[in-house]
Amino acid sequence: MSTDAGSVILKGIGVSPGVAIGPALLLERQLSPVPRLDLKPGRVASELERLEEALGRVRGDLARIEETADRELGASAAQIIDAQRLMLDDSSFVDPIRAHIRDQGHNAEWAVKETGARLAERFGQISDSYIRQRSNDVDDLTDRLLRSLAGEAPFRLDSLTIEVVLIASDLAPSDTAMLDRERVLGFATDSGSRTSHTAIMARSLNIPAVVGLHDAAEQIEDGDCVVIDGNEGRVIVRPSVTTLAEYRDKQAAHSDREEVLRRTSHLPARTPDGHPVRLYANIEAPVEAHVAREHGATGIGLYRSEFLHLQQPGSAPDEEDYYSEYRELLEAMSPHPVTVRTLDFGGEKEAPEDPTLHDASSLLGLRGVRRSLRDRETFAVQLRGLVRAGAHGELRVLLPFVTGVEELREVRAMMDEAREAARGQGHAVAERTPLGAMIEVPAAAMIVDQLADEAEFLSIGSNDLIQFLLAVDRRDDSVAHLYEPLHPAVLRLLREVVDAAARRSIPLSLCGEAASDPLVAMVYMGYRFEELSMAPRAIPVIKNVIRSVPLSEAERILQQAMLLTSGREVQEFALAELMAHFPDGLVVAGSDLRESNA
Amino acid sequence: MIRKELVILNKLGLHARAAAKFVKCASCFASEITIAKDAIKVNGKSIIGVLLLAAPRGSQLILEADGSDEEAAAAAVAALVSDRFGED
Repeated sequence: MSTDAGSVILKGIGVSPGVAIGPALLLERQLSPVPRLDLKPGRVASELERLEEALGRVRGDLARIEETADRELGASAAQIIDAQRLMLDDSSFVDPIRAHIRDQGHNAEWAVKETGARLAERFGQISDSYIRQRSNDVDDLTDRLLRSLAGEAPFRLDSLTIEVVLIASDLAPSDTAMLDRERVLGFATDSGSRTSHTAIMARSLNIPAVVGLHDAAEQIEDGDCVVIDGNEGRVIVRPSVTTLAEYRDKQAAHSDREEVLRRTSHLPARTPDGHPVRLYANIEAPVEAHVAREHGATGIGLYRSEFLHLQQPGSAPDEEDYYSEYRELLEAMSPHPVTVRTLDFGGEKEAPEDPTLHDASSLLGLRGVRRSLRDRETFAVQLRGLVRAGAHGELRVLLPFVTGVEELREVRAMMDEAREAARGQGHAVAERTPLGAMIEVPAAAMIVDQLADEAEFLSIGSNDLIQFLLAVDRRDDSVAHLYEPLHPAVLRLLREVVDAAARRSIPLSLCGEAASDPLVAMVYMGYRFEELSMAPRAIPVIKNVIRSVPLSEAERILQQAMLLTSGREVQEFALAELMAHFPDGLVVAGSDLRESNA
Repeated sequence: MIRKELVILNKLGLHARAAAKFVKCASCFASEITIAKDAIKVNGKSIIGVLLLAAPRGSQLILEADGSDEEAAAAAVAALVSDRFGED
């Protein structure tokens, strides 16, 4: 039932931009209550047979899902499904179900439900939080079996008949692996974060998504008209006629803009006075490589290593996992270069549900290379995966949260060891893998000349650098507005960093949200960056800025901006310049192009 | 019957992936295989049983293999555990 009065607005986190409008499809885990029936004598054998048939169907479903997961999402996603398959055939699961039907003469549904509940409860009592969560796997299996017994098809997201907006409490790899990509318009989920599985899938499919909605699955019913606004992080349920019209306009504007920008994405990123700029993408899973290429990225400037860990909470990836992921990425981007940032949990990045990483949320704590140098065994595994993958393309390794040269020296020694170890086991390794430092702590910005002795390249991580320089924690709403990429202090520090790097002739790039805002990018162009890395979707807009503003102009704009005395003045000045260069307003202020996690 | 004492060495203990490897290895043999931690003994061919042991790094386990190929079974499982499940 859709009435104007019944319209509801839900707020969450927009993790993939754009607007989707369509009927809701609820991916519900809830089933109708299971009745307990006493079987008539003589029906036990046929009930057992019914159970075996249901088991067979679920077995087939899981095998197909595993195959697709392996193909579409990689080996680590497939292993999760593999563990579930083992559970399905586990005698501790199926034998009690069979015994229940045989000995107590109850229907198969009841036997499945009782056994599943008992097993989930046993998992629930384990003190290890990771093992405790395996009760979800048991619930998922029970659910699949009950659906199969009821003659219901499992959720077949691979064969939808109409276009839908998918609503779920959360999306699991087993759900998204089978997704009918043509017919899913958008995602809205109750849990999740910017780096959760759902978010990455949405970005790789280029469909709008909002996560962290808390109770969307309760507020929305199957077939409700739903608007997903991935830009603003909003979901409008049963919108009024006027709201709907408004969003249809937004949707059209968004797709027009994407279309225009996409058509220009193959054009070279060169200023009108002939200075080329390499535009690279920041991504976090190999599946996003094609999105980066479509948007005109000629390399990956920041590959976040955290996704592999988030895929399988509690279990660290092994050398093969790392190797195959990086190799897949390099091959997908070939012949372009790829920069992999080593693990950086902490700060704004959500730590996975691994008890050993729970202390990682502090901005100034055990982050980046600090953690890697403490957990050397884990880090060595990642390094071995990296040096081996390096044999398959142009790979660079970037260290986050560097504050001094000792860290670089230690990591370089570990990399040499990793290379020897991999070679000793008969693996091909990269002859040399350039090692770089992120400039994201003011300390690093002050010693660029020293870092240049130990690093082969430097990359400015603007998000953290600005936060630390201005002493603004963006997670704190009361000061978040003081985060200003055009603050005079930021402009001066960047001037120092850029000049020091130029004196030492060390390559310097900039990755981070700042580069994806057309206004900021235009001002920063004046530093003569040769490489900028940003969210894929921001690339076409920024390329347009680069192709329209001569470098000499950008240098003048920066010079004038540096004479101003507040972030707001610089912002107003830059905006006037931008308008002057784009009277037709092709470049729309980048609110929907930003990302917050470089 | 063969009894062997095993120590879990890999960092994350018998979590899902290690448990899956354990069960797959054990299931390749005809012998009955059990593992025990403290007072709990489970079927080594059951992923649910192995997971419910909740054995972290450093746990001491008793492996028992009983059957026609018990020696090979015990050796294979012990090798997998001492190799840290190929993990770290």
